[in-house]
Amino acid sequence: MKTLAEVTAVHGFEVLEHLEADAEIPILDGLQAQGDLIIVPVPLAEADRARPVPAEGIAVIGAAGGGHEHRLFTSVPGTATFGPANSRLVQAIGVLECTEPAYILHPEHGGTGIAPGAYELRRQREQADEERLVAD
Amino acid sequence: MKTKITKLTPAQEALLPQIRDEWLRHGLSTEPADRPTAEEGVRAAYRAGGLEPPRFIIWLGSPWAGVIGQVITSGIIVEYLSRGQVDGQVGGQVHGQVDDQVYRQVGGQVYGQVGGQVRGQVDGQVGGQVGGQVGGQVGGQVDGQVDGQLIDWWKGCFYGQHWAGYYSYCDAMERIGVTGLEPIHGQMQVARSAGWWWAFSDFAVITERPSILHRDAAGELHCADGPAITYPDGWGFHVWHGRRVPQWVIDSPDVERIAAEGNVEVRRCAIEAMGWGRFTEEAGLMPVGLHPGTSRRSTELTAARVPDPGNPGQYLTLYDVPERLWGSRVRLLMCTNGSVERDGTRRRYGLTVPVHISDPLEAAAWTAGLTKNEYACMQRRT
Repeated sequence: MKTLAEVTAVHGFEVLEHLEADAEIPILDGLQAQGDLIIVPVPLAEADRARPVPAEGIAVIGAAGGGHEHRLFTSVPGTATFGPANSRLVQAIGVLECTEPAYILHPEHGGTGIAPGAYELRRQREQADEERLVAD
Repeated sequence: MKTKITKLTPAQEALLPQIRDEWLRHGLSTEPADRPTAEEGVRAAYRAGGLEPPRFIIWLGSPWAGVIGQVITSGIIVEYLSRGQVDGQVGGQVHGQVDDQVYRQVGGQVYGQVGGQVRGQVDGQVGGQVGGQVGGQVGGQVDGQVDGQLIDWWKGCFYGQHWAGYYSYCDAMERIGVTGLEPIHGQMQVARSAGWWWAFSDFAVITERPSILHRDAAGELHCADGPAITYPDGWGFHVWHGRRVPQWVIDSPDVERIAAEGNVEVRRCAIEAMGWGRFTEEAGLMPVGLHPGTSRRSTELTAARVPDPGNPGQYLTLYDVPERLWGSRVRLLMCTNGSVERDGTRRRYGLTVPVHISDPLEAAAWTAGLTKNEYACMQRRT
């Protein structure tokens, strides 16, 4: 298992200083959450419009006007793809498929490790007068 | 006849984000106004409109002072002049001449020299972005605040730095080769140097830029511990994530004031500013299913909370929120962050959920679009 310091160094990603650099990032194949990002294992994923996750990663939840993003990286180049979700849920972001571990990094939440498999990434939602998506 | 610009070169395309960033800096600047440069700009703007530059230029400290000032200045000047030598005639607003004509000229040049696709590109990458952040998210709030108290007195205003969107578009056009845009240079120079201004035939009133400006991650005016915007003369106002609020919402929100507030959006800002944690305590909110009279120290209260799957040692609690406070029927899920803050504590936060949800785990599952049983399998939450 790699530590937060090791993974962030490889991908050139900055996290907040107070997070424990030596903490190991567990690589899990089950349901996980990172702030307002939810990672849901899916039994089968449609790969047709998926694109390879590039070296610079993909911001699965973007930084709105200078805020924080959740960024997806592969541990081994060419082993992960990310494509549109086939879910009818408004909060679905996309589908990740990886044959080697993948990481999602966030400045405040550190690192989340994802074991080989297929996952749907979703945003957390809340209810005001109508549903809205939570911003981290 | 010059050929139309129908496609940008790579060099020109690379220039667009730079121009955008330059004008964002001007539009959001909190530097003291560069008065000599601004005054030169004003004079040039008058000349572009075919008018003699104003005899007097008056500086005021904020849009507020400017709106009031520009209404009463002519009276003051007439009073001053009539005591002395010069004739007491002081003319009215000349906004129409200085702006409308110039605006049409500039528009005509751009339309005539640039193809639709390129106009769209420049609008999308420069004008629209600068206009959105500066005009929409900042200028519009200042406008709204002034308007709330001095309806319509500010007609004929040149918005200076807050028109950065429009001026950035003109600047980009000029830098990709459009000619004949000199008439707008005077206004652009003022926009790089000062705030709102008004043009009268004998005098002009120019105002200062803000000295303090706070925005949130989305670019909206926002400040959790003071005014979100302040001008050198002290005028300013409070804003919570893009919503203008009375001072008490930021400085001293409490349940009483929230209950007494008539505007539901202001109430919600105040609850967020206070923090759901403090709010549930002070409003005496009860976890769902418990009797309103249940003592806050009772074991029942503790039993109402549920361990947060994947977040060891942390709990979820579901509360009823009185409709008269939130403005509609809703329940509140209180959670604890999976990651620690800089000071080692963990932030508690609330998520509103529909009222049909009856327990904390179901509420957390709803926010993730999962069933309760699926959510219970959460392996790790950071």
